[in-house]
Amino acid sequence: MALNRNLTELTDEELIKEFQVSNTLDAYEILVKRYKDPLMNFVFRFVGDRDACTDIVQDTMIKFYLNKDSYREFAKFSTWIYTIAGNLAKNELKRRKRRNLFSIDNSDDERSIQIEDKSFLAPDRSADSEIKNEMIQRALLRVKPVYREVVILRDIQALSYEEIAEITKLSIGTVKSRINRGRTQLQKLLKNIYNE
Amino acid sequence: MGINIYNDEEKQFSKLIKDLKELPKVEAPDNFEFQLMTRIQNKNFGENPLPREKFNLVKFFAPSAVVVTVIILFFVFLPKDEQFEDPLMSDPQQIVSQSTSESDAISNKVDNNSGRLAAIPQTNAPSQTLNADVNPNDAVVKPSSKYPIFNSRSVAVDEYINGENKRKNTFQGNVVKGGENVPEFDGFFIREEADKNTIERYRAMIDSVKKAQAKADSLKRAKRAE
Repeated sequence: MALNRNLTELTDEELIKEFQVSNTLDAYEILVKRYKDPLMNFVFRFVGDRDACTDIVQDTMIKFYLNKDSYREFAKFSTWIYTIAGNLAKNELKRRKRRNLFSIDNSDDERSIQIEDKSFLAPDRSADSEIKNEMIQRALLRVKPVYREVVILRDIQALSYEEIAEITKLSIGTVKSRINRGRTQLQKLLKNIYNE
Repeated sequence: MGINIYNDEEKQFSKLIKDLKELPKVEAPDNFEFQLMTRIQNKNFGENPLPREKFNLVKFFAPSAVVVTVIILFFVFLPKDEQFEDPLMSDPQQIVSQSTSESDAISNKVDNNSGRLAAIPQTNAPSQTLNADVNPNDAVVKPSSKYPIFNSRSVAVDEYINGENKRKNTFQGNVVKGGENVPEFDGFFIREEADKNTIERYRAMIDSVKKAQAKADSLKRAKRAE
């Protein structure tokens, strides 16, 4: 227990070093506990499917376990693990896109467009936060993935521009530009909510 | 975190950013860590596969069978060169005609002006005639023994077109123009450019024939005189 308390007091970078050097499983578990929820939130907002996002975050932790030695101390641990999760999430999107090419069913996103139309909702219902959140999430899924990722990291996960630039391997200028475009697209899609 | 990390440029999106921040946080399921550690202990490190479409043998083999069938048919019906020869694509053969000295009755007509020697056969036997131009630059037609030239069946196309070939029978015209009673077409032949030695040899042969004839004529006259 004393060891665990000590471990819980360590920073992310110290914990992973402990895991790399001594193969301390407790250090690994602490990191998993710290990052499982933020990663779930990030991946869910990006992919839009709860079951898939659980699998993706599990795979992220597995990759972290297997490739712990590929982490280098000069980078933040959060940046490293967000990069792994982001790449797996993008792979999942590509897989879905290929599947959808051969699908004759309309995706749920197509049907959701009608919900955003004001004529389908009474004004009081549109203020309902649950429906509003659902609308925002659906609109987010319609934003281009390259913009969506950075908007989520910035506005939902509250990461800094520097951290986002490291995760996405882009320059800070490009990150800012993409965030701006993503927000513009999102605002346009949600004009029924924000036009007063 | 009370620090305002947004600058003034983002004021136009302030409402949107606020709503995004206030979206409910999605959390991992309760058994997330249990499942994870179970996978690690069981060394089940494969990515959780999402249901994929099974490999469909019919879908794979059907187009493959079509492709294979097309390839087989292509080679089966591939035209074989030995079955026929396209006369328009094949190179015409050269013909060499043999000179005659001891052949059957052949009358030679010498046109002294042009130096042309034209032989007119009296039979339809395989050509042993010489149709030679003594000028060195002219071509000499030399039929090979493999392709005997029947005058009734062969035409010098250039001469025919120029009107120089005075046809002795209608077969020659039919050879060029086609129509009824067309003899079997053996093909186009080209004339071989004669070399000087060949011309000299033929010239010598013609000279010896002339001499022999002249001698024969003088002997005849002498006999009559007696």
